[in-house]
Amino acid sequence: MTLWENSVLGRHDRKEYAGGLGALAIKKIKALAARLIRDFDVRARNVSVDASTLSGGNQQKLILARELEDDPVLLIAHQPTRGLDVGAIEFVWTQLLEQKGAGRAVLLISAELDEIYELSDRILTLYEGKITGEFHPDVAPDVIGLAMTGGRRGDEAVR
Amino acid sequence: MSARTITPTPTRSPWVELIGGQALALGGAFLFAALVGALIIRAYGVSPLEVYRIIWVYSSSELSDFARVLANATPLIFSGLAVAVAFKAGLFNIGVEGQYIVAMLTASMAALGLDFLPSALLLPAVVLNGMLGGALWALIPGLLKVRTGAHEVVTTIMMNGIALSLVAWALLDPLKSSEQGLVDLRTDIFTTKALVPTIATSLGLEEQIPGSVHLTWLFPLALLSCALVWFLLFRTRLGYEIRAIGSSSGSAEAGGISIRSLQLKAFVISGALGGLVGLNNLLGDRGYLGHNYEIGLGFAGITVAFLGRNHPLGIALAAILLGMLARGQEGIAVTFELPSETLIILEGILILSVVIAYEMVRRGLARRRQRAVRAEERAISTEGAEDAPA
Repeated sequence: MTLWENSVLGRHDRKEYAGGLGALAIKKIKALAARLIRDFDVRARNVSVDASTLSGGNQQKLILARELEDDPVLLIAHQPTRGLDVGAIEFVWTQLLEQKGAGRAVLLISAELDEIYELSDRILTLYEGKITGEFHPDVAPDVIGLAMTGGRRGDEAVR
Repeated sequence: MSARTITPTPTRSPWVELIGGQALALGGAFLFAALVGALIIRAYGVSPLEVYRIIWVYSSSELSDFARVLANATPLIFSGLAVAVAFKAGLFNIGVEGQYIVAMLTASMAALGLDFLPSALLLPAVVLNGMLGGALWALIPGLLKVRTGAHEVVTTIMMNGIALSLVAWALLDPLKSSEQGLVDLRTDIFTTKALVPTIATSLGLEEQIPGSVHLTWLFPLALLSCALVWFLLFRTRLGYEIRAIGSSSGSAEAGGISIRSLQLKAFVISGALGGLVGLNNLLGDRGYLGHNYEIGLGFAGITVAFLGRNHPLGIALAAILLGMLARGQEGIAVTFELPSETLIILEGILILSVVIAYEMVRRGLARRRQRAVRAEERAISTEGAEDAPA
């Protein structure tokens, strides 16, 4: 799928992107894609290249651009930096913090503890599908580690 | 394996690259297939060049030869399109075979049962009934897929077997001709109002194209179908959603697309196209449904879709190519002492080499594009000068 095709996913069923005969309004979608890649600095030759030819960071920028386009109230970011290089991680982090600053709720799901410490105001741990703890980001990593693996507070003493 | 000395040239348009890549892949594949084929033909003590020349002569020297090629291509275009539409949605419709066989049955029912209609109504009714039969036969594995998760490869293959038996039963009992002393198992002969006229009779070309060439108006319909399928896949919202679930079902679902409903729609469209496959044989050639109807056209559609890279234009060209080979086979049979399987082997080699050549070109292009993108990224990020990549 090309950049323009990717940029409208999830919004492709709206009236503004519908042409006649069940067709998509491709010109409008391409204009949207051009705006998104300009605003989010996605490095691509044009909007008609395959998204798979972009680097991981640029792909993620495109997804961020697409998902932020509608001013969401809640942003759920699932492993947003997995597999990205340092520069791209920095970009994604900045964007997430900006979203927070703009008053949006951001739910970050990540397996990277560093990332969670870096970005979070509150940290929730999950174990076997249940929330096992809620922490402030100044908590020590081993407390979080314990809660993540099903231990309870106070168990540290036993070890 | 491939030469890696080419330096990235970011100014070249993606279109040029795409077309250049296509030409390179196709040319390379044909050359390779011709060379390997030559070795096999040589082993039989026949001149390969002579064989290739005969294929060309038999399929292009007279207008009627070319008409035969296009007649051969007609059902293949429909079955290639049927396979491709499903494939774009990430589904393997191996059941085009059964879908067109059932469609021949439903089309025959319309041709026999609605024969009171005038031609202008009867013919469309027969064709639509064929599409309906094919769609219905595809709907069953579609429903099994979305309701129970039964894999479509297994269910469509089984539906093929049921289709054969269903038609055999229909010919033995409900649709069996009432004519006396009939040796062949077949339906009554259709009224001529239900038949598709050949292009030759409509255009007054009977002199050049004999009646044994069944190039009918279904061929232009096949080309029109290519255009419609292209529009559907690449311009409409439905086609967009079909391609989205085919290329990444996870992202498609996150984008609010219902995978199941789309899979069902893709199956129905695929089956409806498949329903057109047998009609040239039924309405342009025989004029009745007999037990010895042409089989294998649905499986051939998989070959066509493969060769045509699941693109409507590619499918039309691939179908014409296979039509040429089939015509060439007739020439080879009368000219040389070669086993009739030779062309099947050639076809096989061609498919393999096309697949491999495309994959090689695709990887090469992807590498080049990635390099170009990386170079661009690097150029811009050193301008911005903060995070040089390690």
